[in-house]
Amino acid sequence: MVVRIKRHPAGREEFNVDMEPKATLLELLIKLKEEEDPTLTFRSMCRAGICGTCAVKVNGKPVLACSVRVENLGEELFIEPLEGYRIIKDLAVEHETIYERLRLAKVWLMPAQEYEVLPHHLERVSRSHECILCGICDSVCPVLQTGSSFGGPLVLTRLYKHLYDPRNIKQDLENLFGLNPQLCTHCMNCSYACPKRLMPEAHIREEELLLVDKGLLRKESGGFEFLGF
Amino acid sequence: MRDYDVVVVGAGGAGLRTAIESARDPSIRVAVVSKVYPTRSHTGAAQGGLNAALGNADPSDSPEAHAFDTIKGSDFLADQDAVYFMCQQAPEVVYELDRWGVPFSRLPDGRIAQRPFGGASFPRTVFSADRTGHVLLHTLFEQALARENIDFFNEFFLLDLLHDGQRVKGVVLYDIKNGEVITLRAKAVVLATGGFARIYWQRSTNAIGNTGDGVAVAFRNGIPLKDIEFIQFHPTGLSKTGILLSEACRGEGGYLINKLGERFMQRYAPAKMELAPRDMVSRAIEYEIREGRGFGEGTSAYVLLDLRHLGEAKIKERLPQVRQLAIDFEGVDPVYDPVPIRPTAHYCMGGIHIENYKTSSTPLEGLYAVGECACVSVHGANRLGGNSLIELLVFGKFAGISAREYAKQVDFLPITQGELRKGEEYIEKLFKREGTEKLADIRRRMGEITWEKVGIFRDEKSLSSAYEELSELLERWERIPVVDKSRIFNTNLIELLELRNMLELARAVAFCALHRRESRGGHYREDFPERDDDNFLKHSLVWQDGDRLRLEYKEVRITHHQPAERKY
Ligand SMILES: Cc1cc2nc3c(=O)[nH]c(=O)nc-3n(C[C@H](O)[C@H](O)[C@H](O)COP(=O)(O)OP(=O)(O)OC[C@H]3O[C@@H](n4cnc5c(N)ncnc54)[C@H](O)[C@@H]3O)c2cc1C
Ligand code: SF4
Ligand code: SF4
Ligand code: FES
Repeated sequence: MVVRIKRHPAGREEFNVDMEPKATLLELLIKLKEEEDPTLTFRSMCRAGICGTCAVKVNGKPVLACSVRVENLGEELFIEPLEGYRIIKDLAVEHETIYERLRLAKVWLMPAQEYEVLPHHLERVSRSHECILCGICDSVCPVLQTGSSFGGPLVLTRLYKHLYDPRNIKQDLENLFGLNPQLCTHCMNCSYACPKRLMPEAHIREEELLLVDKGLLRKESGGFEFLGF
Repeated sequence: MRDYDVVVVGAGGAGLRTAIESARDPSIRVAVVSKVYPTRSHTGAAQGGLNAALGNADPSDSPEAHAFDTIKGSDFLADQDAVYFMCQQAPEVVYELDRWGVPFSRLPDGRIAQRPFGGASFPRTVFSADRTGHVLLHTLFEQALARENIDFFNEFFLLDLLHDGQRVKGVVLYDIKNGEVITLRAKAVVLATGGFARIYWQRSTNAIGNTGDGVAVAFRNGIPLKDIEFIQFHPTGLSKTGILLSEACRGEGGYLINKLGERFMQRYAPAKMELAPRDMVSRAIEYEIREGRGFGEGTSAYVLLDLRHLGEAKIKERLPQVRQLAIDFEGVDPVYDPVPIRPTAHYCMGGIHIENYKTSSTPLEGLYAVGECACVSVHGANRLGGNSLIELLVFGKFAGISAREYAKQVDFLPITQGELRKGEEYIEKLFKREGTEKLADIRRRMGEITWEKVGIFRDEKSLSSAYEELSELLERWERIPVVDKSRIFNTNLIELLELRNMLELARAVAFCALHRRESRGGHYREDFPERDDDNFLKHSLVWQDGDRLRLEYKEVRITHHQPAERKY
């Protein structure tokens, strides 16, 4: 098959390889690095879809390289780095911003000393615990890419689990308010793209309603009005 | 150069738990160094759970029962006082995690649920569905992020330790993103860099980065390694990639089938069949392959795991992740087809020698080690499933306390200009190096040697030839050039550094295995198929003196249970 790779800085872009159809895209990249061009740069770790480090774009679609098979991608591949992040080298993009935004948004739990957790408490947050911080949702979010004050699907999905956890004593409403979930246009890009099918958009929808419930946002026809904290 | 009271190298479960504990005193400054972003660490891949005798599922369980199971599982090579310590502390560290927000699966009344696991006499394993390691790692990471006195050095690679022969002084790191070498001066250093089961390059359940860097760095700095000949092989790795299919496949009633269509476990364990212990099943599969009753050849041979008789409904309900992994990574849907599997290197029981289990201190003052990179020893010759995660948490907590309290008592040691330059000079030298050897070839060859000669079956001949060949590969390593000359995110250089670490460790594993002339737990010698307590109820300690390896043996601490035959 013919593989083209967007390089940064410039380098060899076109490769011809034979891959077994069941091989993954990550295996293809490893093969290219081992046999064709050791300077080809990308990240990988678990190779089992759990660590979130290997996201790239292939034929325009963001994927976890380790979790897609080449046979499902067609005869010609065009591989690019994920959008919305600074390119460090070839397919490796800056991940520091992901972690920095989690720190700024204070996405963590402040432990209660006494609490009761029943199974249904955790059912609600179960999916949001599965986020692997791959960054794909943010990379396809049109609102986030315009540089607004929107927190973005990644941070909002991560925060969700703490909003409904009976063990958390931190006032996360204030945090949530600062992340402006109401700026989401519900285009669903993030939910379609998330490799873990976590439906970030659905979490954001609930977060908006939570703010409305608490009287921090007012739902107007077709939009939200800020009320302020 | 920057100063930190405590530098923790590694941001998996062990490193993060240690850092959180050290940072409990706000006046202590802690650095957490990791070659990958913390949440990419291998701890996130653990599925099954962790063991703690909470007595929620069965009130008759107790820390003593947990300790006994662990000691028996270890084939009596574990230090029993350390095992008791771990098992007694286990419930408390689980409750801590629960307070921090780990979504443990619950019983209807809200108490933490527990499931049965191999080698455990009660249902004792706490879990969060089939993604326990993931939620544990992310929760610890968020808690560490919340602490203002912890700084993260993400994508920094440990090159070396600085010490004066008595005491540790700091660490030398390579900044992967910018290509600079930096030094962190430290009062205490904790190594938490994980295991090295990637020395079995083509056949490992481990993440690509589990190359044993911290273990190799300690080894080069004169610190002994303990019991590294004990490697655990998991029977059900996917044939092509070695990705792990959980033990639940066998637990739920899967069959193992050879080329003739036989359920071959009949030959090896007619009573327990597929449910025999991990090491026995792994050996049985390899016998079949060796006798020509497997499919394929060489490193790509396999047998089949047949789940079809369980039916679509049960597979989807009980084994969803297993099914998904088989589809994604082997291209086979277990509902319709049997899955090609083969035993796969999974876990390193041995590691950096810990002198005092209560502090996790090593022979070098101020240096501690925790997690899979360390050998306490609580796993002895064979680890029970679910005992690694609990080890990280218990010993991480106490190492964190020790490092913190130690740092309060001592001053920084001076670091010379020469020491500051050493790391940079080493990297320069690598960049300038010429030669025609290929990194990928040598790495692949290493994987073949370890698998074929230091694998599930070992004997005098295979081990001594492995030792020779690995020594040769180490020489050839010197002639692998760095093809990528860039200083920015140079993964070619990183792979080269990792390969050296793996080769040094692989050679030491072969060396220790060669001298242990008995079979125990994960170490099986065809020429010495029995356990030999008279001569080998001992820990092996290996040192690297220049180019030579030196072995000594150390008594096992037997405080509660006299060694007996390990029968299930
Ligand atoms: C597939 C799988 C499933 C498992 N399931 C279970 C289970 O259910 N229960 C259980 O108890 N155990 C399980 N285990 C074992 C357990 O997951 C590991 O032993 C444990 O997670 C190791 O944790 P750690 O913190 O010691 O190391 P890791 O999580 O591997 O972390 C190592 C850290 O060190 C860093 N590091 C390494 N080298 C360098 C360097 N040169 N410079 C800087 N940083 C470095 C890495 O970046 C990483 O942050 C499983 C293992 C596997 C492979
Ligand atoms: S649904 Fe909302 S968060 Fe998701 S991509 Fe669209 S605008 Fe962004
Ligand atoms: S929500 Fe999904 S797409 Fe976004 S970071 Fe998490 S796993 Fe990735
Ligand atoms: S390598 Fe971990 S998700 Fe792909």
